[in-house]
Formats: sequence, structure tokens, C-alpha cells
Amino acid sequence: MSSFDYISQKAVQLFETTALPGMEPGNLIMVVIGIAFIYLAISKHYEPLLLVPIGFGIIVGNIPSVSGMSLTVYDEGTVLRYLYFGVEQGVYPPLIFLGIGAMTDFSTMLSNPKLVLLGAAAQVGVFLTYLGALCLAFTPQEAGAIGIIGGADGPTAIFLSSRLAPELLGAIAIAAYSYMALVPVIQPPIMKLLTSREERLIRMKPSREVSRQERIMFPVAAFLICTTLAPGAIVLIGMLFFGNLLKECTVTDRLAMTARTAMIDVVTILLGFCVGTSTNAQYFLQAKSILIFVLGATAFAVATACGLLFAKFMNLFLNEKINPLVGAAGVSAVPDSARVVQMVGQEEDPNNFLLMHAMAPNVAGVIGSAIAAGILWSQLGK
Amino acid sequence: MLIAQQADGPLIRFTMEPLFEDTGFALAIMGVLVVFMALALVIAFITVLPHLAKRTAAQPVQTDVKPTAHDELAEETLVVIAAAVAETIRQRHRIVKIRGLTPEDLGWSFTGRLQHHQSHQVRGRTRR
Repeated sequence: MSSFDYISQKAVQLFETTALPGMEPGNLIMVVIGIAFIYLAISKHYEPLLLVPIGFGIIVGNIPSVSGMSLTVYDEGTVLRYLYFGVEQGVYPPLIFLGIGAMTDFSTMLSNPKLVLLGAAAQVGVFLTYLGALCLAFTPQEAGAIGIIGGADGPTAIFLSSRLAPELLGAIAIAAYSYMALVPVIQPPIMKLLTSREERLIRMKPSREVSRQERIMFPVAAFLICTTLAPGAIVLIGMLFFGNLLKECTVTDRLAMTARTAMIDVVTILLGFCVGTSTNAQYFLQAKSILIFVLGATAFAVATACGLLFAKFMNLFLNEKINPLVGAAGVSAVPDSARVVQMVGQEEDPNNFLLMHAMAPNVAGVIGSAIAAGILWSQLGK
Repeated sequence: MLIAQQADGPLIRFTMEPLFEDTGFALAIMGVLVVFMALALVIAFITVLPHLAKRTAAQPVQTDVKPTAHDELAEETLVVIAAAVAETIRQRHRIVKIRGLTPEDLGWSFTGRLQHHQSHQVRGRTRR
């Protein structure tokens, strides 16, 4: 064998041990999508805490492994597989809810209870999308997992899809988090389309002060009410209100602080990264994924519209009118949709502060979407 | 109804049949009703909550302890704040009240609002 042949043979061997032979066009597309996520997070500040881990996870998940080496999230016994266990078995979402509870202030909701209905109205979008997915020949389980994207709550969407349709988990998680990141893009046109300038100018009375006793009693009682009607929501709602009780009782400050800082950060990193790694082109780039993205966007838009229209409906009966924009915050993308309400409201009247009013339906939406997920799980998960 | 064709079958298949099964309209209507019912009960509870809280609230213990100097702001601090206000306003003014923040003032909502106003612009067309 000549030295040239020897070098060529070794070069071929070397090439075969790289990721290049297994790199499909689909993988390249996904890598580009991952880079786009990271770009949007860093340059546009679209949900950076989510999109950076997910974006990098997408890149990691689309580097082909060499034949014979088990590396991906789909291979048994790999490191990524162990990390993915928390997603697959629905461990991470409740932990995130614990952290969300420990950082959520329900005071605005307690001071203006009628706004809670807007959080319920937005969940109509979940069930309309569920019906839409059924019409597109998805199974009821798949349709339920897709519909919950309209709840605009990433952890809830992941939790429900891991229970009902694990094969769609990657697409649903990416869709849910993408639309959460795109709240400032998706919601304003719908809000402006469905409201008049006069409605957007409505000012609401400042919220009353809520006592410590009220804030302590609320999570316990609300948990009992919600889970009595929808036991399927015990895990999510339970962790949400448990976290809130840790915060409000003020005698467990250390626990509340850990839940809303270190713990939720660790779980967010793991959740985002693992969801990203599960988007290998071979499993992700399918016709169903495209449909899920279309239905997800529809769900989000319908949920926003339902919240807005219900606010207008409530105004027919109220003496003190509510600004219908706050209805858009009924989707539970906390606090982004409340921020968007504030921004759209201030475009009409720079001195109109709707943020705290919008937080009421916003946190009610979190509860509503968890209840909706519980109902879908209990009815379809058998 | 075939809307698009894929190599191994239709990309989109449209059918109304599943809507009329138990997991169709019936489940959707029940789901919406349960969500509304649960949150309506939450509203009812929130409405009576202030009265419940008043009953369960401990009666304040009467003490004749006067606020110590430790509770009050130092005179130097007041002077610095007054100077900063005067420098900012540069007009005749009167400071009505200066007080330290209580733990309740430092709640998430307050810091959240501050962060919101300092955060990135959500949309480029926002008037400022």
C-alpha cells in the first residue's frame, strides 16, 4: 500500500468518525433554527431565559452521533436521556410551578376578583383549538396536548403532552415556548383589531390594599376549590399554591427564596435544554409538527381574542368599565402578556397604567390553564 | 377532504366525525364549564375573603412603646433626600412626607413594576 493510499484510507476513517456523514439537510435546518432562537433571545430579548437553553439544546440535539455510539436523548442510558427523564415523566413542570407560585403576587387578583373571569374566558381558546385539532384527524389525546398551547403556559403544555402524547412533546414544547416568546408580536394586532380607541383609553380604579391574612388564606382555599372540581390539576395547581403559601406566610422566606431563584433557574435550564435536544430533525421535521405550529398559533390568537371579547361582554353589565385590553392577559404568559397590555394601553394614553390590572387575569390564566390541563388529562389520559 | 398530498398519504385530513363523539363537543363544553365554575367559586371566595380575614386577624396588641430613633430616618438622610429633590425639581416645592419602605412595599409587584419600566422596549413603535 502506497503512503498516499494509507493517508487516504485514514482520512476516510477519520471522516466517518465525525458527525458529517450523518448530517442530513433536516439537521442543518434545525441547527439554523436553534441559532435563530439564540439570536432572537440575545438581540430581541424574546424570552432569553427560555430561548437560549432551547436554542442551544436544538443545536446539540441535531449533531448526528457516530454509528455505534449512544449519545442522543432518544438512546437508552445516555446522559441526555437521564436529563430528559424529567421532561418525559412530567417532573420539571410542577417544580417550575412551585417557583412561579413563590414569585407570584395574587394581590391584584384578590383586590379585583371579577377580572378572574377573563382568565377563564381565555381558556375557551384551549378547547376551541382542541376541537380544531380533532377535525384535523389528530387523536383526542394529541388534540388535547395541542389545544393546551392556547393556555400560553410552557410547563403546562409540556406536562400535558408528556401525559397524553409523548411523541409530540418536542413539537408542542417548541411551539408553546416560541409563541410565549412571541407574545409581543402576536397579541397587539389582535388587541387593536378587536377594540376601539375609546375602549383602549378606559382607565381603571387603583387596586385596594390586600391584607396579609387574605394572601395567606387564598392559596389554601383556592387549591381546595380548584382541585375539588378538577382533581387532575392537583400536581400543577398544588405546586403553584404551595409555592405561593411559602412566599406569603413569611415564616419560610428561605424556602420561598430558593424556590423562586436557584431552584426554578436550575429546572428552567434543564427543561429548556432537554426540550431543545429532543428536536432531532428525524423526529421533529414532520408534517404533524407543521400542523401543531399552525394550530398552536391559532390557539394563542383565539385565546387572546376570547379574553378580549369577554371583557367587552362584561362591560355590558358593569358600571365601572374595565379596559378590554386586560382581557388579552387572560392567556397565562406571565408577565409578558400583562406587559403587552401595558404597552398597547400606553400607546393610546401614556398616563394609563394597566400593568397591575392586567396581572389579575394573567395569574388567573395560570390557574385556569392548569385546571384545563387537569380536565383534559383526567378525561383523555385513561 | 384532501387539502395537500404527502408521499405516504394526505398531509391534512379534515373530518367532522370526532366532534360528535364523547371526546368532541361534549368534552369541550364540559371543560369550559368546569374552568368557569372553578374560577367563579374562586371569585366567590375572594369576595368574602376580606370579611374572613378581618375575623381571623389577631387584635393589635396595645403597647405604649414609642418609636425609637432606630425606626426613624437619620437627619443626614433627610437632608440628602431634600437636596436631591431640590436639585432635580429646581422649583419652589415642599416635601410632604419621607418614610422608609416597609417589607410590604418591597413586594414583587412593586419591584416588578420598576423592572417593567426599566426593561427593554417590547415594540419598536412605542411612543416615548
